This record gives sequence, C-alpha cells and structure tokens, in this order.
Amino acid sequence: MASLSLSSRSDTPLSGQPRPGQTTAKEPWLSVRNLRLGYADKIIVPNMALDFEPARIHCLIGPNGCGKSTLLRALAGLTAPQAGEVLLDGRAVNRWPRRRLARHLAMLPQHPQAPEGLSVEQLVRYGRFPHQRLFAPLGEQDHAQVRWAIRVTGLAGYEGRPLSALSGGERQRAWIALCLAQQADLLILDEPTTYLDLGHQLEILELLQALNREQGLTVIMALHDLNQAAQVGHRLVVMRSGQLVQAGPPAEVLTERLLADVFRIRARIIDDTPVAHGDALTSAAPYFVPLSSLTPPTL
Amino acid sequence: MNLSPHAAMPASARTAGNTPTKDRLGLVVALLLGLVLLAALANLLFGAVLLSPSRVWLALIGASDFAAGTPAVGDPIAQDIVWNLRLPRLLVGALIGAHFAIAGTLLQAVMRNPLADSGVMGINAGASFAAVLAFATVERLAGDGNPYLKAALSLDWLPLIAFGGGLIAAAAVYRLSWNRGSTPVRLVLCGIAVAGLLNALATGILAGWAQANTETVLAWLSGSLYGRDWTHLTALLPWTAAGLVLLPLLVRGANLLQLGDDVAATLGLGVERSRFALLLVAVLLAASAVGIVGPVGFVGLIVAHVARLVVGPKLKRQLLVSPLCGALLVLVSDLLGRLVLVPAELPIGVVTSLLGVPFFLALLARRF
Repeated sequence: MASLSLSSRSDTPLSGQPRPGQTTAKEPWLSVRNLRLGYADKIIVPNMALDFEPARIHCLIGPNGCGKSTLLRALAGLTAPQAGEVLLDGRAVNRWPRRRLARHLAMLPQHPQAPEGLSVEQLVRYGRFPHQRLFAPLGEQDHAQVRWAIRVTGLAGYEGRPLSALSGGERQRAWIALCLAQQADLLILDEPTTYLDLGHQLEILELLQALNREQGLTVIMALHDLNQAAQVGHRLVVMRSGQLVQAGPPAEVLTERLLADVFRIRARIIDDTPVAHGDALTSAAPYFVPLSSLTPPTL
Repeated sequence: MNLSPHAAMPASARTAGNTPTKDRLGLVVALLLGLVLLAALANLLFGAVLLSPSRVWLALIGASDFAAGTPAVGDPIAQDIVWNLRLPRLLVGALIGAHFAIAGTLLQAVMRNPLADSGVMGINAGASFAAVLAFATVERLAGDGNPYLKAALSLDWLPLIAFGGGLIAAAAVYRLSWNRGSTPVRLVLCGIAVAGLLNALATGILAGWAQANTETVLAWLSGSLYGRDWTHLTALLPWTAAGLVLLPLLVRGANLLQLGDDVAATLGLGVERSRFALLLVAVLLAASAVGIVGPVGFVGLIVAHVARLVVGPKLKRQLLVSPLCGALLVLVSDLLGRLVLVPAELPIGVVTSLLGVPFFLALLARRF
C-alpha cells in the first residue's frame, strides 16, 4: 500500500467537525467501574476498573479465552454487566438509547455475517441507520458520508460488488466502512486482522491508524499479534483469565517478564525498532522476538 | 486513502452494479403482476365447466348490475360459477399465497435460515393439531346424531380454531427459546421440537381417537381451496391489512437483523423488539392463511428463495416481489389441481409441492 493519507477529505462532511474526544483530551470518557461480566454462574471478568482515552488507539491483548471478546461486547453495550458499569460520557452504555449510542460507538465483531448477494454499497448504507428518521430516505449528507467511508477504505469502484466476491482484506475493509458510515467517535473491533495475510493485516491497521490520526477516531481493538499491537497502539491493555494485568504505553507494558507471565513465552525484547523511522507503523514501540514456549510439549 | 486506480474509474462503471437491478425491479414487478392477472383470468375461465371469456365478462358485469339493484338477466349459471365459486376462490388463493410468501420471506430473514417458513415456528403443526383435536372432540361429543354441529365446525369454526392453534404454538416456540434473549438458532430448534410433538399428537388423535368420517379434516390437512368463499376472504383481509400497515415500519429492522444481532444492535436497532414484531407479523399472516386452507408448506419456502434470487438481499425489494410470486404459485397450482382430475380435484398443497419443488431445484442448480 502506498503512502497513507486522508488529507483529501476536505470535501467531506466530516472535515472540520470537532470530535467530542478531542475537546476533553484529559478526561477518561469511556471507563469501566467495578465491572463483573459473565453468563449465569460462569463469571468471566470478576472485577475490572479501566479508563480509555479519547482519540487514542487501545490494543487489548491476552491469551485465548481471557475475556477480551466479553469485555469488548460489554464496552459496546451488547452484554449487560452482572455488576458495576461501563460509562460513556458518565452514563452506563446499556442505558443509552441504542440509536443515540450508535452515533457515538461502532463495533465490528469477529465474524460478521452478511446476507448473500449484499453489495458493498448496500452494506455501508446500513451504517446510516442511526441517523435516519423512520421513513426518510437517505439524504445528501448520508450519501456523502457513505461515499467517504467507501473511499477511505479503498473500496471506490467496488460499490456494486457483492461482499462474497471480495477478498478477505477487502471484505474486512467493507465492514470497517460500515462502521465509518455510522460517524461514530469510538470504534471497537474484535480481532480485525484474524485470518488475513500479513499484507492485508497491515492494510487494516494502517487504515485505523490514519483514521485515528486524521479524524481523531478512538479505537479499542483486540489483537493477537503482540508486535503489531505494540506498534499500532498508544496503549496496551493486557488481560489474563478475566483480570486486568496492566494497562499503559507499549514501552512500559511489553516486557520479557510480562510475556513470560501472561503468554508463557520466552522472548527477547529489542529496544530500538528494526523498522526505519518514517514508515507508517513505526513508533517508539518495543519489538520482541519470541524464542520458545515456556510450556514445552511432554510426549 | 490513496488507492487511485479505483478512484480513476469512470462513474458509469462504478454504479454499474446498481442501476440495472433498480430498473429490473420495476420490470419484475410489472411482469409478475401481468402473470398474476393472467392466472386469475385462467382461473375464471377453466374448470369442470369451461366458460367462454364473453360469458365470464357478462357474468361479472351482470352481477354487478344485480348488486346495484338491477334484476339480473341472462346467464344465472355463469354468474353462479363466477361469483360464488371461482372469483372468491381465486381471491382467497391469491391472498393466502401472498400471506405464505411474506411470512416465509420474513421468517428466513429473521431466522437467518434458508429453510425457514411457516412450518418452522410450529404454526402448521399447531394449526393441524388444533383442527384435529377440535374435530375429534366434536365427533366424540356429538356422535353421528348431530350432523349440524359437525357441519358448523368444518365450515365456520375450523379456520378460527386452526388460526388459534397456530398462534399458540408459535407463542410456545418463542417462549421456549427465550433464555435471557432469543436467538435464531434456538428459535429454529424449538420450532422443530414443538412441531414434531404436535404433529405426533395430531396423527395419534386421528389414528387412535377419532371415529369415522375423517375426510373433512384430512382434506383440510392436505391443504385445499375447495369451497372457499367470500366469508373466508373477509376473514383473511383484516390480517392482510394489518401486515400491510406494519411491514413498512419493520423492513429496515429486518434488513439489519440479517447482519447478525451484534451488528444490528450496534447500528442502533432494538434487536429483540424488532425480531418480536417481525415474528408476530409473519405468524399472524401465516396462521390466518393456514386456518383457511390448511398447512400448505412449500409456498413460503420456495417463494422466499425465488424472490431473493431475483431481486437480491434487500427486504423491501423482496417484499414487493414475493407476495406476487406467492399468489402466482397458488393460482397456477389451484388451476392445475382443478383441471388434471376433472371433475375431482387435487388439493392445493399437493400441487404446490409437485409444481414448486422441481422449479425450485432447477433454480438452485442453475444458481449454485
């Protein structure tokens, strides 16, 4: 992918609109208080407190089954907490009117499904639902937002194509375009790069970075690749068996000790990133090379 | 995002995927309307007695004069056949076809399951069970001594009882599948379980408990339009009207539900409320139709697929096309059913299966 820029967006309805997050940069506006999550008797997240920062990329990492998806669903108001609350602008997300919440918060689950034959443009138009009145057709602003979402996700020219005819990376970008058409300030993604090849993984991550940089979009996503998480995320949130282990900038969080404790791997941290500065994904993030598992096979 | 190769694509190419389908929708609707009218006309002309177009026309005109107060003259036989037999029968047939088709389309969308139709919510089984139970009970109580009671049951009360049975079964399926929320998979599985139970009970009653004279209920169970008249039409119309009023409110929600509950909810849809309302409309339309003609299974299933293949995944488009397809399928099936065994009839449920299934399989084979 060539250089990444959203700067030609001056003709779009988004430009110049202040994002709520930017005005209150220091205030944690999405926060988790005494949160307990689970189903019936099975408690998945026993007790969690956590603040998210506006206009930042948060990467949620942790081993399989540690409760990442459950937490993300709770952040999006899809699961009611057993105790405690998820507050967005001081109000519990599951007490927001759904439509109004949808104008602030978009979420892309891990395996979204679309009816057969749905085209890219038809899908992205659904993103205007929270802005539409009951019988009103899409207005000029809706169409502009849909066009913008399709363009920045690199899908211009693909509007009429059915999702099933797209490659995995293109399809994932179409789903992100749906979220962007929603015009939300906060985007939650559950492992958006899973099942994509490395090139398409970087494409998705660079797109999210660009949206964060140019639009002030807040991103909270679960990622499996720890090096990618460290490179992309302003903050890493580490979970293990439903507990918050640590949250902070990658340089503080990603240590050989943590990799051993949480992921059960022996790894060597390389302090200066091996990637040349100026590249899209480069940051002052630590980079590590995994050496071996700490739980070797016993045959 | 700099992906200039696509940005350079001409505007005509970019909208190429859209415009033709939009034009095609109008064409498809017009074509189907024409076919439905043609089938309706054929239903008026053909049957055990062949009527010429002019006799049908005069009968229609003459009877409306009669209705306006002018004494009828000329052709009382044709008038009787057209006004009392064929016209109400074809209108009832078209309407139940549309009901089944809309119900099937909605249920497949809401359940996200291409096998869903009115059978899946237990509607057919509930209606059948209620009909069989009522029939057997009345027969037991009345014996052979009270033919009046039996006649009243078959003519007046069977539709209502079957409708009630279908509604109660659907409500039971919905309630059973509820576990801090409903999910399409649980709904489908509970529907299959409830339908299996009710069908077994109905068969058991029919085989073990009911005495003689099961023809009435058997004819109803195989799905028949025989003897359906204006009272059946007036029984259907309120539900048709209710569907027409509610559907436009619910279509957008049904579109979003196809994206999965999580995506629909984060797009701002009240998922449970929307699903409940859509199920309610589907169940009312299907159960009212089942009450009138009995459990005709394949119409909703087949038509929903045909509509989707022809006009794509958007429900608004499907819902414009599928009622016409349903009406057409039922009208053609009924016409064939009345013609192949003259003067006897094949029940509509048999013909829709014989006619619809091969067509459906051919369509699938071509498509997949």
